[in-house]
Amino acid sequence: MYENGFQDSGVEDNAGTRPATANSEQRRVSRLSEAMNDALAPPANVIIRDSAAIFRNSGLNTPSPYDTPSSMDGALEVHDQYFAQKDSSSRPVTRPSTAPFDATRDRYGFRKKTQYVSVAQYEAWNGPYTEYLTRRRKKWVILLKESGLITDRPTRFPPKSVKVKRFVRKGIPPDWRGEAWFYYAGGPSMIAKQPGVYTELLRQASMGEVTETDNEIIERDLNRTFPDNIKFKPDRPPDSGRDSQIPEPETPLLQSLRRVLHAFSIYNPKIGYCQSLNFLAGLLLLFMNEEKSFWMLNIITRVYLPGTHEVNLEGANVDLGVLMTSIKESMPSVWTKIAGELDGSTIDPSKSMRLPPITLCTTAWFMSCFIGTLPIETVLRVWDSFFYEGSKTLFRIALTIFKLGEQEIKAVNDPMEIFQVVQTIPRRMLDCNVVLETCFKKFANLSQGTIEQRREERRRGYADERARANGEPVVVRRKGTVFTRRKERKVDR
Amino acid sequence: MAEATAPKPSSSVKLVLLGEAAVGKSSLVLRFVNNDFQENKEPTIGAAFLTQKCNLPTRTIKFEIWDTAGQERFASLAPMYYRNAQSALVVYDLTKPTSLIKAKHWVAELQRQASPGIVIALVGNKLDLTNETANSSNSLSDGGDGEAAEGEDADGDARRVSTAEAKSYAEEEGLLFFETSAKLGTNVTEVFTAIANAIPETSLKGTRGPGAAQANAGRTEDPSRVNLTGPRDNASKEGCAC
Ligand SMILES: Nc1nc2c(ncn2[C@@H]2O[C@H](COP(=O)(O)OP(=O)(O)OP(=O)(O)O)[C@@H](O)[C@H]2O)c(=O)[nH]1
Ligand SMILES: [Mg+2]
Repeated sequence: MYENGFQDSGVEDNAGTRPATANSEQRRVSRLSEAMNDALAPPANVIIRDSAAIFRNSGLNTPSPYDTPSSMDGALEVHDQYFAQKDSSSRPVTRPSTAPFDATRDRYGFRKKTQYVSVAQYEAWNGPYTEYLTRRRKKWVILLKESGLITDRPTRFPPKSVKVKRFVRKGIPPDWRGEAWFYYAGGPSMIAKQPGVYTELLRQASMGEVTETDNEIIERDLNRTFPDNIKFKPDRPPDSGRDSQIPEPETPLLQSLRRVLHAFSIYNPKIGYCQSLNFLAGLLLLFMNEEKSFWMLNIITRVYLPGTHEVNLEGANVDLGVLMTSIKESMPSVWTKIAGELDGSTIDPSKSMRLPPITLCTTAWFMSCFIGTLPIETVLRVWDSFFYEGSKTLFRIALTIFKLGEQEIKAVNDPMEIFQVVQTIPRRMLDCNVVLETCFKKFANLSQGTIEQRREERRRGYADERARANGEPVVVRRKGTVFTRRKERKVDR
Repeated sequence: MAEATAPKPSSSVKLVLLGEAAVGKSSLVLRFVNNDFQENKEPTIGAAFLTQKCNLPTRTIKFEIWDTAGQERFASLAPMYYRNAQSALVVYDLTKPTSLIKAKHWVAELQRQASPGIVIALVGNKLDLTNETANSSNSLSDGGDGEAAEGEDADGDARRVSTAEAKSYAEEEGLLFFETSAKLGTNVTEVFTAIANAIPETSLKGTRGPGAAQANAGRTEDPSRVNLTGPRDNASKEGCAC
């Protein structure tokens, strides 16, 4: 049922206006990688310039694996100490984390029941969805076989094509998901070009090179990451009292999370540790090993969402501005409801750099890539397309949330109520097929190119603001002429 | 609860929560709004918006609460929340002295930038980690001097900020002051009730929009700042509807 409904719906490829050929797809990807400063190696079928360079030069402390003659053994030894030391004397015996979990948990170890979704609602959806997964998996097996790829724990996937994109949009099989994300996001070439970096970073972390500030917040946030997932926080043994003073042992996944966040913070001094990275890394770790999670975290924060997690959060503000413009354009009646300032005035995102307060509610959407906003299965389905197609997926999904909530939003009269409504709508979006279907039906025309162009405009806006704040002369911009743009660049430097 | 009596005038009050990461801002709100506590509450990214009503004898106050993210880099978003707020809850963790320093920064920023007349409450949270009798607000009044001892003492008292120190600072600045436990519920509704009582009638006229407190943009110390200094002013007797 699901499948047919989904299959026959005009997803982007068949939607008429924009026939995506392999060629246009390729163009998109290369445009994407250009827009991203060639930052990362994109997928297999694209020629890569020296995409690893940006990583190598990323920070003052960024290690080069080439000039550190640390033997593999040595590194591992330190790594072990590091492990042990954080772990204190009582090395936990963590129960094996093999699915399936007990009936209260979903297939990934999360509690089925949330504040917004009851177990009954979950089960009603999960029954047919499980069948859907089985059907999709069979199709994926055929797809991989046709491409001459192994289907037992595959690490390689078919090259990008219209067909594969459609498959990804309908969901990657859960047990293949991690490898597929990694593959399509350009992970393999990243790791190939940076051998040993992760291990070296762990060595540095063990030498205390994580800043005190970062370390402190990371430590606090470890236990605050997916407390509702059994792999992060096991069920307490029934005999332990409510107020048992014995600290709970750390799970292996939690220890991995610490190491990934440590390594990342050293490797990315401009970001360090930013709350929300714990969620991103945590979810990655449920699907792939530590080292791959580390690289994926880099890819997310530098390629897909540049600047979003940096200290001034400019990238996050840029993207929120882009989202606001896109809403105004595609859903004017929603826009009138959400554009209000707290004092009743309205903001025009095309004229002002100020963001309306509704963006306070949507900041987490981008920073956490919808973790904590959408139900987990929906998040995973979004991530499937996100890693395959680029950051436009996040914008399209954000628009979809407003679209699916349109009636509710329009019904709001109290201007403060809007915040609660917008906050709550996505949390109930359990039916991921509906979300994804709506997304590609309604918003497939929002291209990565448009997003990159709007991002660039917003970035220039902030650069102007900074220049003005520094008392530097700012050329009054007549929309986007080459002349003024050049001047602004100069001002910015 | 009993809402059967004649309709009382109702107004809304915007409140913003500020303070270092993990001091317990979201937990205080969760306790106030849902009477619930979560052992490992996830960090707030950006902000969360919640509402809760508070019934006073003469009126009903609807709190419109912005619960903000505590990590330093999110601080740049804060003006958006407090620009129109009539009240602020500045939270520190009484087991962590640096969080009080951060709280003082927030108080200073609010006094400089927020609406004049904004009611500010300073809140020391995680009172349950001290070895004082829980649920007894009397323990606050005897000062607790000398509690900020070095290191954890034998009976597991994790307090690192003495009541006296925080309280005298709050008095100097004209802030409401409470020590709370979101975990046990100690003093939580009391904080919100005290704020509700401290909001000047004049700023409650409209339930909506700019609000009276917004009228002028003067950024100087406000002489009319409410000066209630503690849990002993009986405010807490007029409980919130929660
Ligand atoms: N013992 C104790 N722990 C508390 C109390 N309040 C909160 N906590 C714990 O402290 C941690 C942080 O609480 P939050 O409410 O998420 O803190 P926050 O200030 O909202 O943090 P950010 O969202 O990161 O800014 C969680 O693990 C809570 O369970 C309290 O009163 N007593
Ligand atoms: Mg919080």
